[in-house]
Amino acid sequence: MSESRSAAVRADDAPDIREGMGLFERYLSVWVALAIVAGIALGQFAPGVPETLSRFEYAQVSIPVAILIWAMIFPMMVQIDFSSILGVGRQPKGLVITTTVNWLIKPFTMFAIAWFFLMVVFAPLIPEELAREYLAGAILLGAAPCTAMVFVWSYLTRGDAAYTLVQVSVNDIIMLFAFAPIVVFLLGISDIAVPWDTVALSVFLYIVIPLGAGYLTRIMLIKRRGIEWFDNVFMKRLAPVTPIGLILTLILLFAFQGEVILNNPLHIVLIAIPLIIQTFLIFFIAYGWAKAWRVPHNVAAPGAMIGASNFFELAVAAAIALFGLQSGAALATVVGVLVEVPLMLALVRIANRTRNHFPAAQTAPAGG
Amino acid sequence: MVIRFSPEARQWLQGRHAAVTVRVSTRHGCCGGAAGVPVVEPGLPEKPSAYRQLGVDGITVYLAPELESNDAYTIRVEGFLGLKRLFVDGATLSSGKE
Repeated sequence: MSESRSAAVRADDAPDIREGMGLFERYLSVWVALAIVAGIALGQFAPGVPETLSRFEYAQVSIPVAILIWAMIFPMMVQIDFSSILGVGRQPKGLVITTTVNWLIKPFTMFAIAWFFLMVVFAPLIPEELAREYLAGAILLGAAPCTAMVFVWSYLTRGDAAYTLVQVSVNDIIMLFAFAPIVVFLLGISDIAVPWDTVALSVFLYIVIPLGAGYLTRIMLIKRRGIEWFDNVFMKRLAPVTPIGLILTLILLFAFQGEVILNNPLHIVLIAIPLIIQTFLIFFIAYGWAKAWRVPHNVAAPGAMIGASNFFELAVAAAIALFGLQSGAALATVVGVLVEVPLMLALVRIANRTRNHFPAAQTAPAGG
Repeated sequence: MVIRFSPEARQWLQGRHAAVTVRVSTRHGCCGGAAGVPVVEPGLPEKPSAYRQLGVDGITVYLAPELESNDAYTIRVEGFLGLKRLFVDGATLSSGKE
């Protein structure tokens, strides 16, 4: 084994978290919290900045916000390799579990848990109208499973590389068609009216355009410069754009949200409670199911991680597009960002400590 | 270091490609962070001299140095509707850091 890989594998056969995640991503919650503070300060002490930015609109779409959202989403879309879908026949048990949990269970448990806490348990603490907006944000998070970070979670749990590629491409294709109908359905039963054309516009702007642009960019660059240049040079340069776009979006968002947070600081904790419960629940449903079906650990772990983790850039984008920067829905999706990394690292530890409860990966004979 | 081809992969490559490249493709996370995903592609790499060359079943395998290990890799072909793609089994994800 090469030196670099040996260093990455600890005695308990799990890579060190520091090998897969740098300082920025390990402490994402801290940077998000700082972005919240910076945004509130900007809104309070230099209100002219967000006011000026909010004037740049076209067809009721804020141009600065659209640019920041594309900056967050495009780098994720451009690295999607749809040809991996051709491996859909491998590890069918894993794919059945993860697809069912992600699309038939996760959005609905998110809705149920968030509704129960925000509309019932916390009813004395959150005004009903605001609670409904927070519920809308939770619904958006529940309908958007992770699409990129799952590679890091899979690496940290020594997941099957080829299976992770396939499950991400399957998930991305389903997301294209299922995200909008699930969101509209769940918002509908929550008595949150969102016109279909608004949903269609936000899906077009923040899923179809970045996905189409990402696909075309990928095809064009690989044809011109080769796949190795694309992976090793282009993606390396583009990768920091997503976290920078995320932090700038959050600063702008909280420049508008300042009053809401200053008046209700406890709401962040209240929103976090159902999101935390949902994350653990979804992980244990998929992980427990995989154990019951005797799925190898290197498939069970990434299969459970993808649903537990959220594509929060998409959720933040959809919340802003559907409800506005100043909405409770946008705030709820940001709380999702705030808790994401610590929760997922806790699940990585659980997965690594329970590895021996699963059958070992089988290396099928090549035959011939 | 053992590399094998599944019979289907060997048959698919026959007459199409005399070489395959096994390398690491880096995938970046949305929160930052990265993971190296082992992938296999038909054809030669951009810089063949940077790879280790192995002859397996009459096919030249160009193996990226970071994938050299004591593991056994199996190259398979999978697909449907006449579309096929190669996958490499047995290689684990690595840190996306260089």
